[in-house]
Amino acid sequence: MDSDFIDPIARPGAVEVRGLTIRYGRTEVLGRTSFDLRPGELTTLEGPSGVGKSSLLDALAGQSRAARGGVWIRDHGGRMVSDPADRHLLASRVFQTGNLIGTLSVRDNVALRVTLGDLRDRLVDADALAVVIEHVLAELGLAGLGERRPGQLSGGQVQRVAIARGLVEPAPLLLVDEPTANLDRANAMCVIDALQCAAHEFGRTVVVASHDVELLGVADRRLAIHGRTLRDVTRAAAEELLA
Amino acid sequence: MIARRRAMGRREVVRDLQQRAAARDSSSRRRKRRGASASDGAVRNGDPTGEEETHSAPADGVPAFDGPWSDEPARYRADRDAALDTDPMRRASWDDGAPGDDGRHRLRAPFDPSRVAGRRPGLLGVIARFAWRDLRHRALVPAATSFAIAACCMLLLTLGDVASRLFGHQQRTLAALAPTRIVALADIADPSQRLTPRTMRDIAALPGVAAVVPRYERRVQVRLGTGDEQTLPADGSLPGDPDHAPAQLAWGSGFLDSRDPGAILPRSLLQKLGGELTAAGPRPAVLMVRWSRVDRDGLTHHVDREFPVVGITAGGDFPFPRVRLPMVVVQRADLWSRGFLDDWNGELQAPQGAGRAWRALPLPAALSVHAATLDDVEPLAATLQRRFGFDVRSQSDSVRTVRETAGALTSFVGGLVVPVATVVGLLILILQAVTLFARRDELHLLQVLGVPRCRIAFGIHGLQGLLVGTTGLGAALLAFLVLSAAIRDAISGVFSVPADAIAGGPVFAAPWLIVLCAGLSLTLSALGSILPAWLTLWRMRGRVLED
Repeated sequence: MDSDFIDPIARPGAVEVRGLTIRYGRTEVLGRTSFDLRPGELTTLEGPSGVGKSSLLDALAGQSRAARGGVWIRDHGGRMVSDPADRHLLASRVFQTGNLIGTLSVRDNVALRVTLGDLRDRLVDADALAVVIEHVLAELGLAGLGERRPGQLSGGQVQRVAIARGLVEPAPLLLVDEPTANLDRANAMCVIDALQCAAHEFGRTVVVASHDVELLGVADRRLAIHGRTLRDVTRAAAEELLA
Repeated sequence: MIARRRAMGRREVVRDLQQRAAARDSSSRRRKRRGASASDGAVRNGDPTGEEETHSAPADGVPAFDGPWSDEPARYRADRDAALDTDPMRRASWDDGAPGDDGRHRLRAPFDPSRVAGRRPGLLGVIARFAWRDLRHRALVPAATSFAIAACCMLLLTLGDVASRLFGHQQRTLAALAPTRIVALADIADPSQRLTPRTMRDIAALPGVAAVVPRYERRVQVRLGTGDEQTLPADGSLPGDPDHAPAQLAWGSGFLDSRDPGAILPRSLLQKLGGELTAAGPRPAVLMVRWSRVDRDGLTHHVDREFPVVGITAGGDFPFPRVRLPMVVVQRADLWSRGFLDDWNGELQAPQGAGRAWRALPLPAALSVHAATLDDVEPLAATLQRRFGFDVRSQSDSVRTVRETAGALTSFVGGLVVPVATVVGLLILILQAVTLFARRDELHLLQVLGVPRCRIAFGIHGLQGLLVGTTGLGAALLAFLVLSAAIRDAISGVFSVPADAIAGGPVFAAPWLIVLCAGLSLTLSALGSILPAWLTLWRMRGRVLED
């Protein structure tokens, strides 16, 4: 199947958000927002700290319920699903602090959701998984660290292991929170390359909450949250650059 | 593409972005032509049409897509193709074996289970590996839990073992007591008071009577070979006497007929006489018996006879041992002792002044009445005393005491199990709860990664509980095997328990004890692991994992 002849919106991982409102108690973080996300695109989410970027990622991943509105994600059968449990199966969430299991090795942490979690049903070949994990770790500069525990890694390495987990999980939607916050420039470029690869070569829908200028520069699409509203600033950024 | 972008200047990047935006617009137009209902991809806030109130899912029926791994990544190709070339099994799992037009193998449907021939890691193996690594990492808490379980099991094993041995000792004593036997004694001096055949028939017809056996009892001196001499009662016995039925014998067959010239001894008497019981039988195997009588002139006469030992009873004839001889022999000894026979082998003589009522046959002076059940003993004893005027002796009081002691001991051990299990269970719960409190985030992360709660609580933590419980039980058994002898000696010394009551034998002689400890330790450990984990997971339902 050649992906060039498939409308991106028809691929698994296509996201449609309609009238999404996120509230914490009486505080409204995001109000009545509608937008689409396409597979094969790297989308960045900008905005000041505390504006609701992580909350939006949680809402997309089905980890928190929207106060109003809805989120639909296209699954592998071509259906649009909105139930949080179904959406959870279609999304990989990468946290800023890594959130790794301290007792497991790096390799087991990366494979955790596929071997023990809800994506286990989609694992068909342990050898293939091992090959993929080794390549992803190597791509992120973690070659040879597969048997180490998180406690034996630096903060940046932990963050990259968390990103590796997101990259390995066979879910079409990849939601990443501040992936380059703790990384030096060289490692940040590795991560950016890997995220671009996930979007452009694997056809995944990649959404990254970030302030990293380098990452914003290579994004296919840039969304920004300002005062409870979401705006597409891709064109504005391009025009700004041209001007 | 990444390398290309890096090589681009700023303006080229912007131009590239514009081209991609135009491609998106074109895609959106194509979709509109197909009548799709989704938006054009632009961000909208506020939604003035009020669409958010009636959101409906976009139309279905769009062609399926293989998934994010359906296009093989270029950088994995070399390694994978090399593996495929050397491993036909893997080739079958990745594609149908035929390379594409470009000569490379294609990953066609990696998520289609029907096409899978590769190795999928077993869930149990993954859970076991997770549980084991977790245990190894948190060495202190599992070790403390195992120690608590081992201490609990050790205590129960020790108490249970001692109680079991004491109970066994009491049961053996109970069996030796012949609790259903009532001994009815008539006046030995007065022949008319002796038990006539009619009286015996009447007694045998009483309700609750299982058997009636006449008894002739005479004190004799016995000796085994050149061993010590003992003076004790000799009872006349018949082949069907329940006192030396085959079930009561440690060796031998007992009397086969009423004229069998043999002797039956209790094991304790055999040892007291200096003999021993081997696999081939008692040694020495011949019992020397001497009867004595004093005549009117004050002269003492003796008769010596030898009897082969034909049976050794397991019980000890508590509290006084006695030797069993054939009824015919003891009857004759009775007559000879009372002067009815001048010579052991002589003719029976009528005593002076004896009328026609004198019976030539010797009548027994005592009767063993065997009750059918223990409950029949007391009513029968009362009847024999009231109706027949016999002096009645039974062992019902001793039986009652032994039964009550055994019951109290069993209740004591049983009562100990509950508080010990409760304390150890609480200890394990507290240990696990404290540990889990520090590991809540980890549990929550597992939940966020889609690991089902049952798999976390019953799989990972349940398995850990079983591992810890098994370790604790194993340690307790090992420690018990090493220390049990010293513990028994200590208990014997402190509580003045007879040494032979709790001596020797492995703990496995009481399998119920092992089963009890295994059940307790595994249940406590598994519950102690599963319960806090389940409660923690249950309380975290719906919580978002925070960065």
